[in-house]
Amino acid sequence: MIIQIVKMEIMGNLEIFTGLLAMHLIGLFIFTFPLEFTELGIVIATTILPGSVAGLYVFSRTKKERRSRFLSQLPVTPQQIVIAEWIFISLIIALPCSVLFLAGLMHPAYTLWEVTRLFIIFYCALISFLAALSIAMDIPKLPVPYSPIIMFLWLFLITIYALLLPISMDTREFLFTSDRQPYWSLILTFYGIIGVTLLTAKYWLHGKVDDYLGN
Amino acid sequence: MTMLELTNLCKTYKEFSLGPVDLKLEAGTAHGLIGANGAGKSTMFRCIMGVVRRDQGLIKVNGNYADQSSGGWKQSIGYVGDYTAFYDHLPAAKNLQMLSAYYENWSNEVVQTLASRFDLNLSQQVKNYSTGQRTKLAIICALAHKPPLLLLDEPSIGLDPVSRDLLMEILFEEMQKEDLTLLYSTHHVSEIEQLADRLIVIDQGRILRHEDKEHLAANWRKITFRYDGELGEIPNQVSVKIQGTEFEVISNNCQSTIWYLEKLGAESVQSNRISTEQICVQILKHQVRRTS
Repeated sequence: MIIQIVKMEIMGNLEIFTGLLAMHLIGLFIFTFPLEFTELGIVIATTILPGSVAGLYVFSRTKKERRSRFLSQLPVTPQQIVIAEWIFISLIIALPCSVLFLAGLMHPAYTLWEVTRLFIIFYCALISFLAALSIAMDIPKLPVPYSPIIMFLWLFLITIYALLLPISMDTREFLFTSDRQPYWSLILTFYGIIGVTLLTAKYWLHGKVDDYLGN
Repeated sequence: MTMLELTNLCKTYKEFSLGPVDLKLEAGTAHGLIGANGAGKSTMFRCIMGVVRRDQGLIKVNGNYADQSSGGWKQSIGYVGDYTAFYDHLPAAKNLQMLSAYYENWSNEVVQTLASRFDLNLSQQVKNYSTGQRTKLAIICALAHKPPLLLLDEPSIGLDPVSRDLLMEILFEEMQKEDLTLLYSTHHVSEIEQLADRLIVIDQGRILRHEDKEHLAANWRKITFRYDGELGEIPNQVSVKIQGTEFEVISNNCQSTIWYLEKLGAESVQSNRISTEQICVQILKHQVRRTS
């Protein structure tokens, strides 16, 4: 049933998929190629990609609520809807990451392994970012204590990380070794912790408090 | 057999509370849910459907408890809400095809028949539909899986008079051929007057009356009479109009009122039937007066 919901969401939102793909391809050509996939290119991509995804996500929010209401009328459980929603979002996120992946493959200086690592990093980053955004948007509607703190905490964490990533690339500290090799395990653990925490928090909020689908 | 049972159903928003609502709908009966704007009709429907989470209470649909651990009980419900979302850029037929995967008893034959009767072009994108056409599509979705319980939340909004008439005709047919239970909310009592066996009057989140339509019509009457003298409080009086010695009283228990008036010596006592719409208006007005 979860797969059925995801399939329906993809079919029903093809315009979001095509729009996103177009946006990222344009972004890629404008920023990444002239900069030859340098750190600056990645920094801009880091800013542009989550920004564009977030923008689209916010833009489609009203529509999403109506979709959620539509989904909640189906003979499925709320848990199935939440899981399907996250699979759907994960697929949307895979788009910009795939664009970067392709760009990396086309660049002679990068190996497949390096590009794959970059893909994973961006993927985890975007999942965390969207989870934070999603929770931040749900929080004001939910009667939970310390809601303003929870609302901004996640965004704050992600922003700090997004700032640290380019700085550490230049200074070769924190997330990167002296020979500019990233501490992959550290980065992925960081994203993993954020992602899992956020997903759990979202699931808990949906399951625990008031209306679970944005009503 | 009970098709829908609500026990102590409650839902509280910041400025509105529904319930506690206790309600039992027997299979094969039609019920009109009447109430003013903001009375709690849509909230009640949403709670039943699980579109909003109820604060407390039990809901039983066709013998199954409506809980979050399973969605199977929704197979028994056909629902038309105040707004039905679809995938707008897809044709209506595609929307219906996707929905059909969720329902065991989905019938494409019902879809085609209803679409043809509603004169609805299913190959058209939903975004090009008018409000009325969207409603028609929602009605088709609600009926296509042949549910034993139909929840219609003001389904006639946006429908032209011909389509509204057609909807009533379809509902009449469905009520006759199947053991269908219907809960139909509306502001316009006349719309449901012919169809409903019982009327539920709701105000400020609480059910004021759930009575047989005929029982209401027999008890709620307009009584006219002439009386020359000081008239005290008339038993079961809901409202009164006085023109000199001519009185016009709306009573919620006409027999008791007539007995009192005749005992008092009132002349030309006559009991007149009033429309179901007027009865509902009087019930709601009476409630407002009592509350204030």
